[in-house]
Parts: sequence; structure tokens; C-alpha cells
Amino acid sequence: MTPEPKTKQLIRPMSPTWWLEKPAYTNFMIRDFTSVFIAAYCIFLMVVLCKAMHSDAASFQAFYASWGSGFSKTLHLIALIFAAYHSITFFNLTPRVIVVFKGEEKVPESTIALAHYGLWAVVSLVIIVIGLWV
Amino acid sequence: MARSNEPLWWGPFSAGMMVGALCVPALILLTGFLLPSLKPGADQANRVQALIQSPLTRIFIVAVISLSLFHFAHRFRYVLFDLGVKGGKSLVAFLCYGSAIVGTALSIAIAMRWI
Repeated sequence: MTPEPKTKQLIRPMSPTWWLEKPAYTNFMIRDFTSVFIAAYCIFLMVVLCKAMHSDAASFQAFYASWGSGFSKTLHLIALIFAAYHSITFFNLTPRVIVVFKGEEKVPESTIALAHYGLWAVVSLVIIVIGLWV
Repeated sequence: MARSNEPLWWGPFSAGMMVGALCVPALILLTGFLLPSLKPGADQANRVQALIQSPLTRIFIVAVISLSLFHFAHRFRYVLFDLGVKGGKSLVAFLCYGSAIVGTALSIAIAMRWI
């Protein structure tokens, strides 16, 4: 038998709702939860991939038509809000993570953030153009 | 201190963060709104199906799925921790990373027409 420890272990109490106490905590939690919605969209992408690989033209057409339903648009809208929140908070954070020096001078934070926003715009445009006018 | 397997998971996690931030909003906009509103109909459906069947698109879609799932796995593991889930830490890690590994294997199998 192990002897009882002489000192009590101190465990700082943490309420399950600590993240509601400050807006910064809440934003942190929302940011973490965006990954759930992005993962849910990936399940949809897997279904799309599966249908595209296995369906004949007629059944893929029916599946494609279902993307226009109100149900599909509602789910997409929810996913879009969280995905955009993830992108925006991530790109705002990049200057803190990536510090670039040009000679002795530090490249300003706004430049690094803007470069990421620019990249985001280009990648998005390429994806949309390919999708719409393939 | 016990050796951490943290660095192993951090690579796909951060890659998923970047790929998700860059690509996922545009994909959602495309499949949710732009395609059904601007290009409804059988013609475009056939074109989209052919586009997805092309090897480059398949690689792209599998990469987005896989990296996003690893990103989700790592995040969700710590969300549970932050919300005060104390027991079963290794079980949580196993289930989180396991789901990402299974999802990756599944999407590769679908893309290769193995299933």
C-alpha cells in the first residue's frame, strides 16, 4: 500500500463554462469549433467524390440538382460562416507566427497579413473559375 | 517527462489549417451557392462529374479532406480537454486521430475506385 501523500495536490478548479466568461475566451472556443464544421463539409466532399466516381450520368445529375435545395443551402451557409471565420482569424494571426526580415528591417505585420489575404483571393478565384467554367 | 508524439500530429494539423483557410470557403461557396444558382442543369452536372473524375481534382479533393480531418482531430482533442474532459486521454486521442486516418484511407479508396 502506498502511503497517503503529505501535501494535498492542488487542482485549480475549472468550470465547464469558463470560455463564456470573456469574449476572447469565447472567440477562442468558436475558432476551435470551426474545425468541426469544416470536417462536416469534408464528409459531404467524400459523398460528392463517391457519387462522381460511381454514379452514372443520370443519378449524378439528380444528386447535383439536390445541391440547390433549401436544406443543402442552409447547411452550406452554416459551414461557410464558420469556414470564413477560420480563414479570417487565421490570416489575421499569420504576422505573429511568420516574422520576416528584409535586411535589418522587420517586414510590417500588415504586409504579411495582406499577402495571405491576397493568396486567399487568388486561390479562391482559381477554384471558383475552374468549378464554374471547366 | 514522457516523450510526446505531439510533433508527429502537428505537421498535418498545421497543413490542414492552411489548406482549410485557403480552399474550403471557396469550395463551400461553389458547391453550395454558385454552381446550383448560376449553373443548374444536366450539362453542368456532367461537366462537374468529369472534372471530379480527373486525376488532379481527385488528388486535390483527397488532400483537402485528409488534411482538414487531421486538423479537426487535433483541435477537437484539445477542445475536449479544454472543456474539462479529464479521463480517457489516450482514448480521446485514439478516436480523434483514428477518425482522421480512417477518413483519409476511405477517401483514397473512393478516389482510386477500390470501393
